[in-house]
Amino acid sequence: MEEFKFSNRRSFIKKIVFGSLSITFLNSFTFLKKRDKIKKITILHTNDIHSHIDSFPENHSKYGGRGGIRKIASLIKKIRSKEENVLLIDAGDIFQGTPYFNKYKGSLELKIMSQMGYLASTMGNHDFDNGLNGFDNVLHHANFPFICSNYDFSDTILKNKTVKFLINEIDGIKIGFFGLGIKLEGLVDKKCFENTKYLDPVKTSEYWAEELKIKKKCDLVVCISHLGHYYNDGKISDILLAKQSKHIDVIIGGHTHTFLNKAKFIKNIENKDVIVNQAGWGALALGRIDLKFTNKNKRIDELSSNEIHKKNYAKI
Amino acid sequence: MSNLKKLIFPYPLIVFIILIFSCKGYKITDIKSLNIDADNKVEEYEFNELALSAYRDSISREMKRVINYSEIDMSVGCPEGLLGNFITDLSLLYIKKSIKDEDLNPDFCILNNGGFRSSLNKGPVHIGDVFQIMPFENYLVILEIHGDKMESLLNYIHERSFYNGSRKSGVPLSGLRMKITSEKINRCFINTKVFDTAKKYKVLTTNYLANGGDQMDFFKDCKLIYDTELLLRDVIINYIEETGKNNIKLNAQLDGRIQIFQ
Repeated sequence: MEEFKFSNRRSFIKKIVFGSLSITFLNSFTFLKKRDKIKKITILHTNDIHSHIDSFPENHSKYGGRGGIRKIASLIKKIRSKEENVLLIDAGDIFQGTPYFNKYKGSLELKIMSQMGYLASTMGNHDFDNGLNGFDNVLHHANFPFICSNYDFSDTILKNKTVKFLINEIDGIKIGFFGLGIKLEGLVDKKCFENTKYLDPVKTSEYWAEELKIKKKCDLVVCISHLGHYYNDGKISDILLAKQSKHIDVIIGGHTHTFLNKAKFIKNIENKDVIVNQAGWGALALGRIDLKFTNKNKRIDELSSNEIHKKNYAKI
Repeated sequence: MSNLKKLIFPYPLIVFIILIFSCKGYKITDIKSLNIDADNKVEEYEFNELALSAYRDSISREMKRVINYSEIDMSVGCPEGLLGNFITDLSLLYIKKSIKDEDLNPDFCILNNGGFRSSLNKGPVHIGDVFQIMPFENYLVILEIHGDKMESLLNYIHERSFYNGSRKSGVPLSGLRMKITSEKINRCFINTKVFDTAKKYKVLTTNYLANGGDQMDFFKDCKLIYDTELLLRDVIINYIEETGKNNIKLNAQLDGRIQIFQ
């Protein structure tokens, strides 16, 4: 018994000695080791702009002189001048709410957003208001993609006109996006969404979050959602999705016009924090999340070029 | 010696593998979030390239587009007003027509005078006039209401049917008629039938009021049975424009839907 213990301890010491030696040995290969570096990414986001280009009229009882995408543009310009790595995202319901939409069918909203350098958006229920044709007619004004992971448009004219996911590499950090829309039946006239198939948002998010985080090795997985922040009746929402998720890091939300002072932290099934945010509506607020990253010996993975969206068209 | 060999070989390999796997990529080390208000102090960016003023001028022309004519001036009133009668009547009619499912058809409509921000003037009606009357992005919804909640609603109407000096007094109603005294409600008809405390009613209102706006607390726990997703303003514009196309001018009457007996 004593003998056994002794030999065990000896072997343990040996292991430690050889282990430490091998680490020192490996660390001498500097090509394997990049210096730890802190990188910062700023995610800015809007949702439910609802065609509010100009600020609310001065005589508006609640929001007079506030809001409007032009004010958001000024805020973004200022932040872009200070921060290097800015990502601008929208979470849907760009359309409907002012005469601009009635007159220009959403084209002006998309032209403005293109100048602002939006990276991506997802479709909200009101973006179907002029039907699939109405959306298709103005889509070419957008220089950014719409990410719709749980709307299957394959049997409609929007086939191949939206994307299921997007990977963006910024300052070496790989960020994967997917987009979730709300159930259209009962919310949107059938003739406006035609043969769009609605896929279960939870299953869809499980699939894409794993695909992006594990298979595509994204450092950060962002879900752009138009499900709504939270409902009392147990209907799927950003909060519920966060709780049952595994690989999602950030949920950028919309639909419920929820104003938050700052993002919430929701524990997922592995007790890890998911960042959940939403920025009211009517371009009355700009959501902001600043993330700092560190890297240790990052391996550079080869990506096929069509998976990476590096363009930044911002003109402001 | 062979023992030493055994020890040397596997360990560097394992450590190497651990190193590779532990260095998958970037890790979040810090998160900060503070959302920013686009308040009065923030300037509106001019997108010079887009020449927004041309769009704005065109919109203002659109706002000036005539969609119908009104034969009378309509404004809010108490216990009933022409504007309230006109808008609740057209909303109920419009929604009943657009909903195919009879089970969802609303029995009555209730709105609030505080939500009407302007009057409708006799003469040509422009789109901009409707935006003046209803500047809010309020949607029409259908709720189910019964029992205590329904009685609270009737008491609310009763209370507000006596002019209290505020332009908010009076409740715009359609599909609901009441005979009241200052003390009590004598008779109440809903959808042409006598009010039944045991019956469940479907009420058409706005999402603002459904959330308890204008002290309509009785709506707070009511079940939402249908969200029309139609803006009240769009319903008003569409109705006025459609009737205009059919050469029907706008009119409204005070028909004693709320009658006060001394």
